[in-house]
Amino acid sequence: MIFLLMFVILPVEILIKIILSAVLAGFGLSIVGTFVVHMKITSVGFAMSHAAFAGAALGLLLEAYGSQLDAVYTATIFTIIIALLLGPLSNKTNLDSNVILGIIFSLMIALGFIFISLMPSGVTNSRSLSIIWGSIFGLTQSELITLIFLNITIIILIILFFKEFIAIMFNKKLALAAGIHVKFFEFLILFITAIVVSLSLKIVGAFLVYAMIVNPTSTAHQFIYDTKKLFLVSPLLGIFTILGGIFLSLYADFPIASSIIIFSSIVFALAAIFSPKRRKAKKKQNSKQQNEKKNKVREYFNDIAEIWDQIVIHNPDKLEYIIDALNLSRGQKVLDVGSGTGILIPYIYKYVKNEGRIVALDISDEMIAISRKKHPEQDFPNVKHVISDVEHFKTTEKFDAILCYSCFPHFSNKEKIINHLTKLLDNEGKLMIAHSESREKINEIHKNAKSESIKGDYLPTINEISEMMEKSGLTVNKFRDDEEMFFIIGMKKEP
Amino acid sequence: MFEKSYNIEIIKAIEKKWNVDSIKSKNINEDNQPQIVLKDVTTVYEGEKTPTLFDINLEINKGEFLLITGPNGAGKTTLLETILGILPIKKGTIEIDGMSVLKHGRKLRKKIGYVIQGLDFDPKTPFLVKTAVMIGRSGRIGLFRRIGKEDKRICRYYFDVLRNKKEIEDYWNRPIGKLSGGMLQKVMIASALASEPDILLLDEPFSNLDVNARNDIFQLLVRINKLANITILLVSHLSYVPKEISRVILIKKGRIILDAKRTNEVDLEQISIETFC
Repeated sequence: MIFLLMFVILPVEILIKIILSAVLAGFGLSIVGTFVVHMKITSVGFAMSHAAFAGAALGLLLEAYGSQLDAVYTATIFTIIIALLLGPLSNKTNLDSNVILGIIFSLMIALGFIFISLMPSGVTNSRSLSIIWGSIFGLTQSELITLIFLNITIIILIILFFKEFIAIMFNKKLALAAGIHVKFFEFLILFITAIVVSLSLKIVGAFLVYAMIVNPTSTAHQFIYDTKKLFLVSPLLGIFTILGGIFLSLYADFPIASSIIIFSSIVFALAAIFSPKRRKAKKKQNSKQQNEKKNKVREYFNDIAEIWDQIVIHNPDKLEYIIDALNLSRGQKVLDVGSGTGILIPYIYKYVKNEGRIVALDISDEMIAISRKKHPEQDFPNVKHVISDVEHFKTTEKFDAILCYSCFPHFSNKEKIINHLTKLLDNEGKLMIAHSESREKINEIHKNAKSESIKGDYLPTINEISEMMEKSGLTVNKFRDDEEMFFIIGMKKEP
Repeated sequence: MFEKSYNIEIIKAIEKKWNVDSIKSKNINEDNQPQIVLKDVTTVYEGEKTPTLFDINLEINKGEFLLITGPNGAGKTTLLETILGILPIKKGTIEIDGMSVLKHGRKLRKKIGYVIQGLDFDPKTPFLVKTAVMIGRSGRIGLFRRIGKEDKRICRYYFDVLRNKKEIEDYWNRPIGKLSGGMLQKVMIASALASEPDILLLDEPFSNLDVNARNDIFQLLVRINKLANITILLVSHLSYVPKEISRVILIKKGRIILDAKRTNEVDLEQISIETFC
């Protein structure tokens, strides 16, 4: 509550200075963080933030004994020295480099405390403690102006060298191989980091500077797929975090740096939990499985394509019956899904004739190749062959009838496919799922199939398919389900 | 729709460009100096004492299409990266176009395309396919210059050329972490090609590709090699030598143990590479 009161009492200039410091530090640190995290030099960044602490402590010590040099300079010098020493180690993940980083990190803290303990007693409390856990009042006018210029410089550098930075963040070796001066840009980033960290030390404090570098960009990483957007979102999150932290500290009466870090951690946790990337990872697994299945199905039919027409005999009377049930008329457009070697093409052709149109769709290129040979363009000018899986088949055409003969059990996501096909139907168009054997026999065959790719493929009941069709807006108007055959026809009826 | 063979149109457009470029380059390069020269090169991996390449002597002329093969760990990748100049050499010299790779490495690398072996990405990586392809070209574009419309068009060309007609989806805008191994490999090859290099180094570019894709891309490489006179060094575990490749280099335990050119006497297809491994 005391903080809140102070907030109300303070003159406008100081308020502006507070908010400006927060915004500038948030911006600078999170942009630096975007580089540090994606160029995978976080461990160096970690060591640098503690070197900044030691350097600032030394600077304050010297100031107490009359030095004119601002602590920021010593902080920067210490940080850059550490960056230069550790830069080459940044890529290595072996034991030695981790150990060295650990040693340097604790060494810096130890040095910092030594310098603090050497300070004459009156000075120790406020100024030195402020570099440990920050103080929003910390920056002087000149420091603020330096910070503004620094941020502007950073923006200019990013715009100027965007493609080089992106290349290094993507893959250091590739960037090297492309002819980019990777060492120069790495050093540039470390140099900028050193200055930003040293200036921001007074606001956020040494121990928590690292979190302000890493948290905003890690939060953005949870839902951003494009690096350009990453550079826009990270600083926005950084600024949002700091302002949020300030308000939290006013409300809960916590020290400012702690509030900022708590706030940013909550934001990160929320982003990570609700991350679309996490959900999509699961979806990707499912779709990866589905893609693998599709590939297996395609391979199975590709392998068997040559002998298909010999081993699978379709009863011509049954085929006639099935096509007849569709009630096709001359000139209509028909999509034959899972057309395979084009068994149905002559039957459909009898009804729609030359004025009509037949699109023969199949996932197996070998099958389509055979169909093309059997139904060459000269004899079947209105037949078009397409190699594709159903889900990704896109066209501007609308069909009067869509036929899934002997293929429906192989679809993984049957409801989605019925939905997709319904969209391709003209008004009063019909979707038919048909087999020239009984449902039991079909499922029996697939159950006992030797090939893993079609084993277990299932033909649902009339009721189940009917439900799927109705969900997609089709009205079932004909079906047959007995020992001879199985088919169901749904018609699209737009109001 | 899918039947539209736009890939062929794109290939024609690129080939037209290659013809122009190769005519230009043929006029300039009248001398017969080899393009890549390695003399007594010994390479060490950082931090290791034992070198991974010993006493390599190699001369490669502009426009050659080489196959570099050998057992795993033999040093094939090391050879490519040594030529690129991104690995320090302990002994010997490397020159490309008469320039020392040690001194002018960065400048030379802008003209060399490199396809890294076995690249893999975190599914959350914030890079799109189009960014990845563009990165291959960034070095060539140069410092202080922006990526222009023509640059973007060229990147798109090479991406489309490599994309299989049968792959229905256009994954130009997809995050790179979401691609299958084969798609990613094609993107990386496109990225190397997008810099329109004089020399192309490919390290096992076919490992994730099915037979059809492998053939398609290999034929594309043959075309590039013939029309634009681009030198190609292909590291691959092929069990036979395709007829379009005129020279085979076999590396074993860091040394070149076979450097055979296709002549009338030696029928490379008869050589069983297994016998050397």
